[in-house]
Amino acid sequence: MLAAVAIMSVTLFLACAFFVIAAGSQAVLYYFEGRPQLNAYFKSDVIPTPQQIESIKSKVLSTGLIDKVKYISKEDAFDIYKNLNKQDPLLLEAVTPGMLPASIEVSTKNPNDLKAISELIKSEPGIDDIRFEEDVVVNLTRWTNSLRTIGIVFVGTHIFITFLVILLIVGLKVANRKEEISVMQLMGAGMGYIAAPFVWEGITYGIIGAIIAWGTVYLIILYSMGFLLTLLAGIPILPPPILFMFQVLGGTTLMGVIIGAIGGWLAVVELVSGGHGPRIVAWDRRVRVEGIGDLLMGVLYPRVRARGGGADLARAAGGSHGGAWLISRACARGLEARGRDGERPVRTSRSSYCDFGRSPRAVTIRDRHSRNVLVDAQSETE
Amino acid sequence: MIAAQDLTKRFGDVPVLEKVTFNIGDGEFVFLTGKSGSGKTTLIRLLLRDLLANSGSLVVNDIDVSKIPSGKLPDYRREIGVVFQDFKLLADRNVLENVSLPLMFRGVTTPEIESSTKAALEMVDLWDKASLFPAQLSGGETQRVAIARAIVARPRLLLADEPTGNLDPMTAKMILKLLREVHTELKTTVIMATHNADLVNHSSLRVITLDKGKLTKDNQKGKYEE
Repeated sequence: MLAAVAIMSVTLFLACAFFVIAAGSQAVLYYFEGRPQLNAYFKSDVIPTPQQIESIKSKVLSTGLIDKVKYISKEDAFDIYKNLNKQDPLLLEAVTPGMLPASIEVSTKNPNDLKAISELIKSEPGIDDIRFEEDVVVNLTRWTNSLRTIGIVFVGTHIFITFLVILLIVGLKVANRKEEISVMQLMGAGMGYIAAPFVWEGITYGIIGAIIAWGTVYLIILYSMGFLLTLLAGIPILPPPILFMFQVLGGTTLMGVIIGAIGGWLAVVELVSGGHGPRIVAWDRRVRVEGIGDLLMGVLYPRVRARGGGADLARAAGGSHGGAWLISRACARGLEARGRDGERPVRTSRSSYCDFGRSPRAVTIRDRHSRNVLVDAQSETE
Repeated sequence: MIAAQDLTKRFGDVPVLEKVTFNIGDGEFVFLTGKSGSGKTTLIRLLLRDLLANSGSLVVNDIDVSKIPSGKLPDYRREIGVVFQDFKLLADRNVLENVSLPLMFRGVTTPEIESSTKAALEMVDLWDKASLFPAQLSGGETQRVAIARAIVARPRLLLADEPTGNLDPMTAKMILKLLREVHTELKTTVIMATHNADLVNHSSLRVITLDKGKLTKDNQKGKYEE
């Protein structure tokens, strides 16, 4: 339980953190994109005529690249200046409207077009200087895209690992209750009834993990608010809106619930589709073991995984060909396969791929070093 | 109701049932007898579709058992009540919960579950022990709970695999009496596997005898013969 919640919390924390950082970067990007991206300043002694202004406006608008274009007169510039420096009377006194240049603010649909627009306006009479934040926007776009890609890969990997851990933990619980499940199946229990408690267990891990992850991310944001405000230098995205944070909580919980539910469901399906958990389902010199034990082996020893997926994981053959390859691989990787016929062991020849001398009625596969039993399967006859 | 034709089941090279043919009509009570290893349990498991036959056909309630898709298996099994020799009650659930399980699988409403479970437990005279757990019951009581569980959903077919195998003679007779009451009152077809000759000989019911996987006798007069 603790392991499942811990791995779920770590994964959801990463997902939550990456999402918040990506959303923050996006907000910063929007902030910069929303500001006039290019300012064309007239000489400070020039007061442009309406015809001059209209000429520049129509020239840039005719390119079809423009989102917004606006003329800022000397008076408008002074108002902006006053607004920005209202806390500092000394600065206000030192400046008069005549000292500030009139300008034209241009926003392009694509920041990459700023340079071309800049070239276009530069040659206009009366234009003194052109400034634009091309680098900021382009770099920020690049950074946001990279962050998103890294986040998806990183979080995706963690989701996969979490999924496997949930599958293993719930799978072990399912395996422990295989006898009970088998009885319920014989009495007519459907998959939904059998799977429900395990799916709920996975969902519970998801919800607890999501709350822990979200709480941790929120605490980190609140704790580092001072540092972040300095770093963002007045870009107004902090503190994050409460509604946004609750949306993040909802998304994180949904993700946890989906991972937990699918993990729980698959753990049961793996057992139930085998019918009776780990068991020998077919033999006649050849033996196939199916069930949750196989799944464990598949996870612990991925190279032992059968070609058909998670189901066929261990095969043994009395002959020298056929289905021997899986057991042979198991043996090659430090596992030991033992066959039994009642209480009598069926001899295996380790030197030749753990072949069984004759069909065993049960097979135990264990780790040679730890002696942990990975598969303990009985035939249908027992 | 049940029609088996040349039913054969092998485990590896070992034949467990060989070309077994019989018919059982609706509402019959049939003993399935034979020595240990004669194939009684295998036949019960084939009827329950816990195993598949290697050849031959088995039709239950007009359904070819070998052709039931896995998704429809729960529906098929819900028409069958089963009593296991080793009871197979769920240890962590009390008597009431154990007996109500088949109804829960069917998605029956709570009031109906309560009334049907009470009726089944009253029939086996264990309503006063509804809150006890399996570990707190005697062998006979445990088997009666298993019978209550098997009949609670009023199945068309009741399979009892050696239901008296672990019980003393007195309790065994009581269990048989109970199964006959179920058969009479619910009109359920009952197949009871047993090797208890005394029980069989004191009844006048049909007896199907298996020996080494072959059907050797189908005696309508209730006589256990090896």
